[in-house]
Amino acid sequence: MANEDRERPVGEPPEQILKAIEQQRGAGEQRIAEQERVQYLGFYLGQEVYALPLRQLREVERVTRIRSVPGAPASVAGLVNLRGEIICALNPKAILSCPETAPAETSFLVVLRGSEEPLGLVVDSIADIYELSPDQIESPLATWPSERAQFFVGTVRVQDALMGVLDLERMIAP
Amino acid sequence: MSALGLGENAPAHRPRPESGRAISLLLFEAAGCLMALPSAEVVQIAVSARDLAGPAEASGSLPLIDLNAHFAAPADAALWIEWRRGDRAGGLGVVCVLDVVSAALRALRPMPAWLCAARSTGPFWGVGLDQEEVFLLLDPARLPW
Repeated sequence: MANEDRERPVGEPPEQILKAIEQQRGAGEQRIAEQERVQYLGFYLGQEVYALPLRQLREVERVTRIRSVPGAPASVAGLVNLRGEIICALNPKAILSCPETAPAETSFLVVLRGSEEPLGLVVDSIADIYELSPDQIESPLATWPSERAQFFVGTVRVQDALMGVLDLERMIAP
Repeated sequence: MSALGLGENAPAHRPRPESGRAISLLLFEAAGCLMALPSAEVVQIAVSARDLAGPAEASGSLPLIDLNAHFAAPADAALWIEWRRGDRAGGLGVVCVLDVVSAALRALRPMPAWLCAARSTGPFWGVGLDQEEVFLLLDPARLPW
């Protein structure tokens, strides 16, 4: 009986119990949030920074040559021979309706993981690796037109810039 | 001699080390791109479209497509390839002919889905590699003759 008395918090006011549960829940959520932190690769398209989860990427390579395909849509930059594998290189600037900028002197091919056929994104340069938790990602800007906003999970403020977090599945749906 | 016969006895045939079934391809450049078609379907190569029509076609006109113009590329055709498959035939205007190579069938890939979706890339049925270069496999039968 004595043990039962110790285990049961008899006499505690309901407010305190609720507060303790709330604190535990908060701590649990914090732990979950920490576990859910995801690594993202940040890259530049022109002056703008975008990000994709690292787990969705296979590798990043400096682009030496992109073979254009006559008649291809603007969303396809061309075909790349990557160590004997032919990669269809997409042009994210066209997909995301980014402002036209002069092509970078050296571009990078971000090769995607898990796509049905080898796909990559041609980007101007690599920014950094970012570790983000879901609560850091805010909704896409309301001012963006829907045809652009549909490709974003949201935005994150990094340093002084607004980084667009991309929805890869939507982007690569032909 | 303004025309060069190819057909199945293609000269300058460059064998490849790949094992298994292979196909002989004529590599050429057109519309700023490296393209290929089976050399068995190439009758001859001429510097002028007028030289393409052999005796059998002398009374008729061989349909011609300048691939540069077809794909809205600025270059002009400097060579013409006479293509024939069964009773279908035509002349293809190209910038230059590069080589005849043997490509392993297993090394050829279908066109990426992103390119299949575009109607304008319809004449291409696949992609392949010649050393470091990516080429497009052209199916002339899909061109609007």
